[in-house]
Amino acid sequence: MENETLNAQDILKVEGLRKRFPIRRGFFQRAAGWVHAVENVSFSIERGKTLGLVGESGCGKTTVARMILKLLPSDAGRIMFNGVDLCGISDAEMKPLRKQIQIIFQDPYGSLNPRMSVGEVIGEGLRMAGVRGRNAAAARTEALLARVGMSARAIERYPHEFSGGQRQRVGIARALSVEPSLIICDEPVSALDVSIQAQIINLLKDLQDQLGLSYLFISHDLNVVGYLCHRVAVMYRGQIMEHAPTEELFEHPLHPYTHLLLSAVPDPEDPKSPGTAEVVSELPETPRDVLEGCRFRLKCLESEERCRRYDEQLVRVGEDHWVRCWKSVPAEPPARRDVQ
Amino acid sequence: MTENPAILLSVQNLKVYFHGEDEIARAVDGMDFEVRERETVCLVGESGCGKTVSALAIMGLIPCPPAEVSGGRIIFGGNNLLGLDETELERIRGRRIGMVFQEPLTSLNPVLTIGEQIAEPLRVHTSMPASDVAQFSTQLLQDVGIDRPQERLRDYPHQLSGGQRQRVMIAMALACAPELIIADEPTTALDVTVQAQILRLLSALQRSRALSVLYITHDLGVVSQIADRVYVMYAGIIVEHGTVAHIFKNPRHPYTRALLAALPSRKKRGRRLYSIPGSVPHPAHKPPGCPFHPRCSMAVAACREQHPGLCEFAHGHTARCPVAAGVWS
Repeated sequence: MENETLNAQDILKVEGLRKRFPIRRGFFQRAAGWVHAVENVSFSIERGKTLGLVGESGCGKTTVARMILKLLPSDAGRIMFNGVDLCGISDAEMKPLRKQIQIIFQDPYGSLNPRMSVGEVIGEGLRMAGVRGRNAAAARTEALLARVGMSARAIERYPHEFSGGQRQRVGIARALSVEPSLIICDEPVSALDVSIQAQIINLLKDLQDQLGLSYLFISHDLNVVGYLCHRVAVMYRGQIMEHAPTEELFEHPLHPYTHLLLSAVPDPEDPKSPGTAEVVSELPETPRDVLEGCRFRLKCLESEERCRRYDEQLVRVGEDHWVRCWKSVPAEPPARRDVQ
Repeated sequence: MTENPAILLSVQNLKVYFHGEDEIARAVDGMDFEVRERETVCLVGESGCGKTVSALAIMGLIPCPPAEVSGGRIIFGGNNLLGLDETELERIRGRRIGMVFQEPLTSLNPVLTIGEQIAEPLRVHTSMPASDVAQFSTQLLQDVGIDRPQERLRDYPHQLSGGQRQRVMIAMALACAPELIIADEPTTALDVTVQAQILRLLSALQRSRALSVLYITHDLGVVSQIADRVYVMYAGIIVEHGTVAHIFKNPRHPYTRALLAALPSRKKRGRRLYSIPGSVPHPAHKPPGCPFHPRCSMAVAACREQHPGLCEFAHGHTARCPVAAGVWS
């Protein structure tokens, strides 16, 4: 991948991000191998836009999120946030930046302190944001709750008194309390019922329009991603297999894994058309540390000898469309091809 | 379908109440549905609507107390299951009705091998000689699409992937050749690609073994792919019933319509999702009249006072909404 000049439009640019976890065995807990949780992941998020990161459980989506938040150190790569490389700075330097990157979790119950009232949860964020004085904090809390569609009466109440959807609203209000510019949404609607899910999705969209927020939207639900995201990156076993603008990815998927994912999504608007998702077979947990070549090849119907030997690179195939599969690269174009 | 197959399971006016200290939660509150031979019926609804409770009631697995089946009948193969004693129920449960649960890891015993667990229903319900059990189990695992079944019999649940565990659960449910399988959210914990495989497996088995399947889910996408007929539940009652085409192409109950309008999809990009105001009522504090009226955009005065009756919109398509039928206005 050629080095592009830093685009001022981008709020976040991740380049070559890598994380490996040791597999420890034996009495001395020596590293017997490495799980390549995130391997050479690159993407960028435009200001005010949403990037969807999709993939099955365990593909490394959340590990990427944790590295961006610096909750987990990265092994290699750069995380450029507003032009600052988060990987190279100290915790003290990170502190003011933390306010600008917030996260919303899947399970709002598990991520809210049960002993803190909603007012206290949000008040904590407000103190960090430099809001001083009880009256100012109360007014700000009320305004935040109104922004997420809750009444001021919620201030005195505790997380267990709310339904899942309302708790998620509290989680969003807490994230907003420090006035972030980027919010990482880690499966924020997966645990919610359809009717509540629509409320939260609409809320996230409204907040983006009103506050110019950028989202990294992590999800396994392609229907939600297709609705909400401007771009989509498809991850498989720690690598990005394909990324493109949403329309392009859904209309012209290239990577066999993207095809598989899209064909597995049930479409209620097209009843009784059972998914055509085909894979070689459902494999047990294959060792994650020994795979050479394409990581998807064991499940890929089109895999050939070359797939076993080479670890493919992400290649640009369209104006803004990248894919990690030599078979998916259209026959003619890019300049990568040697002319005889 | 030219002629309707016989009714295998018929649930009539089922009521399941949970008795709390000072209140009664009416989890299932007068529910009617039926499953015919060789068909897949979906029970769909949001969490807390009573779908799992009704399935547990069919299996006689409702914890009593605090719960109590307060009324109704569950007719399976000519018998009212609610009138049977535990021994008689044992002969049906696990043998003529198999069950697949949502979370295979918690429903499988972690300290027994797959082989031991598949053998259990065979030991309890059949007189199959021990020497045949291993071969029969291998065949079952093969039927549900597990690679190298003989080796898997010696594995423990944690050694299998989520999809494989669910396949094992299905194999166990099939062990005694049941007539009906009740599957409660069997794919909810799985990735979409694995979900697609399990759904295809279930429909293939349903055809090859002439099974009836009662499939319980909250996922309308899944429903649209596998169901023959659909029952939509809300707050303990069935609000709409019809074929997949009725429910997805021509929904009549405001709740069904709202649910479909609330589903996100790429085709709805740029449009605002319909969001149902408010939330599902607590089963102990249901509003009078139609339980959906506080959230309904079509509600009229009668909805707040009277319990809505079933209205027929087409042959085999009913909804509990006299407003949509033009009776109330």
